[in-house]
Amino acid sequence: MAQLSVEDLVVTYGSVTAVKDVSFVVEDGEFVSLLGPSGCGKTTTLRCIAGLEASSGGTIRIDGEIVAADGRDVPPEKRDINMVFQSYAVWPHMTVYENVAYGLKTRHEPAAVIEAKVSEALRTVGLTGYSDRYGTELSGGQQQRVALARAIVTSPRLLLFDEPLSNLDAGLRDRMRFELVELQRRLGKTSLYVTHDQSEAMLMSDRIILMKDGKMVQSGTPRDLYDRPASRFAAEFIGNANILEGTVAGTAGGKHALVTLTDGVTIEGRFSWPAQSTVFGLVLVCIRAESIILVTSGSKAVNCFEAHVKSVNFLGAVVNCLLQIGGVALRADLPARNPPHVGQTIMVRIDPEAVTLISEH
Amino acid sequence: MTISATIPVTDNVPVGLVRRKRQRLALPVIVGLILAVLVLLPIVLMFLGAVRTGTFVDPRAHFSLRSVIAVYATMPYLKTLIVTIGASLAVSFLACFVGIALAWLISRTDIPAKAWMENAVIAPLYLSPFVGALAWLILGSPNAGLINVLAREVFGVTGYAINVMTATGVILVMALYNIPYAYMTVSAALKGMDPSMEEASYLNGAGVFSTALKVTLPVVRPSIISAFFFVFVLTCGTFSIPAALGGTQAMPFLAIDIYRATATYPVDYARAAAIGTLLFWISLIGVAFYRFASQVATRFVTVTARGFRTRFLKLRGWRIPAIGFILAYVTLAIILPYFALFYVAFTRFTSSNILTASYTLDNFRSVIASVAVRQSIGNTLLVGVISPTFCVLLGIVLAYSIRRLRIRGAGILDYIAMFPIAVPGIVFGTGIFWTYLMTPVYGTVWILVIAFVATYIPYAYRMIDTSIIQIDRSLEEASALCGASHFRTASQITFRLIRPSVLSAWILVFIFSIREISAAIILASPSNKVLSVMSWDYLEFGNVQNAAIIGILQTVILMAGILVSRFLLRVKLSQSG
Repeated sequence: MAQLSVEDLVVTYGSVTAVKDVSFVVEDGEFVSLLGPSGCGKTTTLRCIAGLEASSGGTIRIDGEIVAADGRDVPPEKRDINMVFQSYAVWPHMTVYENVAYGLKTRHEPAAVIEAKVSEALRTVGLTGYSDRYGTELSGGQQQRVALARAIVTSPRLLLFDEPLSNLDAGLRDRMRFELVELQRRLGKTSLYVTHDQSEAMLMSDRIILMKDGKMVQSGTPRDLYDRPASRFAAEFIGNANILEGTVAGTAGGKHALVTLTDGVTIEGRFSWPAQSTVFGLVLVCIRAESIILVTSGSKAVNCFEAHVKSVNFLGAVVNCLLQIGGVALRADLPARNPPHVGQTIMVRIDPEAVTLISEH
Repeated sequence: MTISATIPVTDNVPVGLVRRKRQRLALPVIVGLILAVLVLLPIVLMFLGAVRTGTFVDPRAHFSLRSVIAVYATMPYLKTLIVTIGASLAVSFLACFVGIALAWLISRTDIPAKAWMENAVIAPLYLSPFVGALAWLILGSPNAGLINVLAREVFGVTGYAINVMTATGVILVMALYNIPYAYMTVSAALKGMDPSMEEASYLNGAGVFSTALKVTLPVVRPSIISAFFFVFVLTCGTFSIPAALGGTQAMPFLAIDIYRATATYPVDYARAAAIGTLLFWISLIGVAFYRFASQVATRFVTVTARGFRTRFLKLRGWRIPAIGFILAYVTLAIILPYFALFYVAFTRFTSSNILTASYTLDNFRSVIASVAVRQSIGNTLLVGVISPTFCVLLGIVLAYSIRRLRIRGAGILDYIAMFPIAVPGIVFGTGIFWTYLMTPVYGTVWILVIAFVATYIPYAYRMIDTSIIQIDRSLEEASALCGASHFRTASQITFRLIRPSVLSAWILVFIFSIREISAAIILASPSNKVLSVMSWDYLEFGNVQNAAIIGILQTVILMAGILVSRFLLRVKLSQSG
C-alpha cells in the first residue's frame, strides 16, 4: 500500500499530445477514478502509471519512489503494482489456478505459500472450486474475478483498473460494482480506476478526477462534482442537467444571485465556487432534472414557476417531462405516481441551492 | 480548488529507470543477413548466371548475353512462354470456376455433412500433385491406361476413350489439383461476408440466383481475382504435372525446359538460369496482381461476424446433383488416382485383364528392399523434419522481432520474407544451384533443406506473424504487471499462445517439403534423392509400377504426418478445416 503521485505528466505521440500536464495524488488506501469520455487521456494516464506506456514528461512516484521521470521509466515488472484489464487478459492456456499463481511463481515464492495465497485470493473473489478450469471455460464475470484475484494475490502497492466492468452485461456490472468497492475497502489498497461511466465513478470512488482532451477538468468527491460542477462539461457529463444561459441581475445574499434567463424568467441560484460570486454578466445555469419539484398551485415561495407540460415519458420510477416555463424549456424528472398530463399547467419549484451558476469566463 | 499536490523533485534519477525505445542494430542486421543470403542471393546469382557462359568457378567462362537472347527472343522459347502463360490462365479459370461452385454449395446451401464435404474438397492439397499426375498417367494414357484398357475390354471401344498425354489432359489435371486453393480463398470470403447483405437482397425481392449473381459474387469478386492469380503463379512454375504427363511431347512448359537444360545433354546451366529469370518475371507480375487483388479484398470484407446463423438455401431436388458434383470431384482427384496407384503397385505385370488380375506384395517388397529406396526414404524424412523446423524457427524470430521488439527495418524484413511467394520452386532450385555449386553442401540433403526453407519461409512466417498479431497485448502486459521479465513473458505467454499456429506452420511446411519435386529435381544428386525424385527417376526409365509404389510410400509419410498432427496434436491445418 502506498501513495501515488503524478506530477505534470505529459504524453505525446509525434505531434499529438494525448495527456497534458496532469497532476494528482492518490492517498494511501484511497479509491480514485479517472472519469471522462473516450479519448480524454484517462487510459493513457493509467498505462503510464502502470509503465505500459512511455511518458514524455513529468514525474510519477509510487510510495515516494520515482518510477517515471523525464521520459525515463521503470519497466512495469519492477513497479510492484498490478492491474485489472478491460479485456480481463485471462491467459487462455492456463487454468484459473495457474493464472492466479503466475505472479507468485515469478517471485519464486515457496510452493506452500503460493498454494495458500492463491486459494485465499480465489476465496476472496468467490471462485473457490474453479481452480482447474481454463480461462476460456468461464463466463465474462468469472473471468473478471480471475483477473481480480490475479491482481490482488501479489499484494501490489497499487491496484489499477482499466474499465474492468465495461465488457459485462448490465445486471452483472451493477453487482460487480458493489463487490469491487467492498473488496477495495476491505483490502485497503490504493486504487486508481478508469471509467467512462459516471454512475460507476460516483458509486465507487472516494474521489473522481474528471478529464477532457488530455487535461484534468475537475477533481473532488462524487458529491462535489455533482453539486458544484465547475464547467458546462462537468455539469453535462455528471448527472442529467438542464444547462441554460442567463445574465446575473443582482445578488440575493451570500453566494446566491438572481439570474435572468431568456424571455425574462428570473431565477435565484447559487455559485458553486465562492470566488465566482462577484461575477456579473453571462453565466450558465445548471438545473438537474431531479431537482425540479411539483408543488401545489398558488405557491408563492422562491423559485416557483408555472409550467406548461409539453410531453411526458414514463421511465418507471419517474416520468421525464418536458416543461415550458415562459420561453424556457426544461426537462424534469417527476414522481411517476399521479404524473401530470400533456397540456396541463402545473406549478414547480426549484430549490435555489439546486440551481448552480457556472461562470466559464 | 487545487488538484495537484506539490512534491519536491529530486534531481538524482534513481537506479532502475531505463530509457525506452532504445534501438538495437545487431538483431535486425543478423536477421536481415540470414534472410538476404537465404532468399535474395540465389535470385541475384541466377540473374548473374544467366549472362555467363559457364559456372562462376570456370576460368574460361565469361559474360555473354547468348543465353538470355536465345531464351527471351528466339522461337522455341517464345512459343513455350506463350503456351505456359496460356495454359496457366486456362488452369486458373477452370480451377476458380469449380472452386467457386464448390465454395458456394458448401457455405450457402443445406448440403449435408458440410464438414466432411469441406475436408474432402481440401484433401487433394495434402497430396502430392506429382503422384496425382502419375496416377492419371496410369489411368488415362492412350494405350496402357486403365480406363482405356477397361473401355476396350468391357465396352469394346477401339483406340482409346481418354488421353491425358495431351495439352488438354495436362491442363485438366493441373486444374484438378489447384481447385482446393481457389476453394479455400473464395470460401473464406463467403464465410466472412455479412449474411445481412444477402438477406437484404432477398427482402428486396431477388431470388436465389439473382442474389448470388448480383450480390454474393460481386462482394467476393476481389477474393476470386486473388485466387485466380494465386493459382496462375503456382501453375506457371509447375514442373510435376506437365512433366509426368509426357513432357514436351504433350505440351511445352518453361519449368520442363529448365529441367531439360540441367539434366539432358548438352547441359547448359546458363540457359536454365535464363529461363529461370523469364519464369521469375511472369510470377512477379502474377504476384503483383495477386497482392493488389488481396488488398482490395481486405478492404471489401466488411466482416461483422456477430455469430449470425447463416440461412442455408434449400437445395431440394438439386440436392442429389450437388452431392454428386462434390463426390465426382473427390473421385477424380483422390479416389480414382489412388485406386490406380494401388492397382498397379499390387498386381502382377503378367495379368492381362483388369477384372481378373492377381494381387501380390512382391513388387512392394522388392522396392522396399532396394538400398536406394531406403536411402531416399531416410532423405525424405530428414528433409521433411529439418526444413519445417528451421522454417518455423526463422519464422518465430522474424515475427517476434518485427511485431514485439519493433526492430528497425521491419517493413523491409517483412517484404524479403514474403518475397519467395513470387518465386516458383524450380526457379529457386536454379538460383540455389548457382549459389551453392562449389560449396560442400552441394549434392547433400542440406542443399534441399536450404532450398525448402527459402521457398516456404513466407508460409511459416505469415502464419506465425498472424497469430502474434492476434494476441491481445493485454495478455502480455498482464504478465509484465505480475512482475515477469521480458524473457518470462515471451516464454510463458507469447510463445505458449502461438504454439498452435507454430505447429500448424510446421505441418504445412512438412507437407510441402515431403511432396516437393521441382527444386529437388534441379538439385538432385545420387546421394540426396528424396522419394519424389526417386519416383520421377523410375518414371523416366519407364518403370511406372515402381514409380507408383514410391508414390504410395510418399503418401503414407504425408498421411502419417497429417494424422499425427490432427489427432495427437490437434493442429488445425486451415482456417476453414
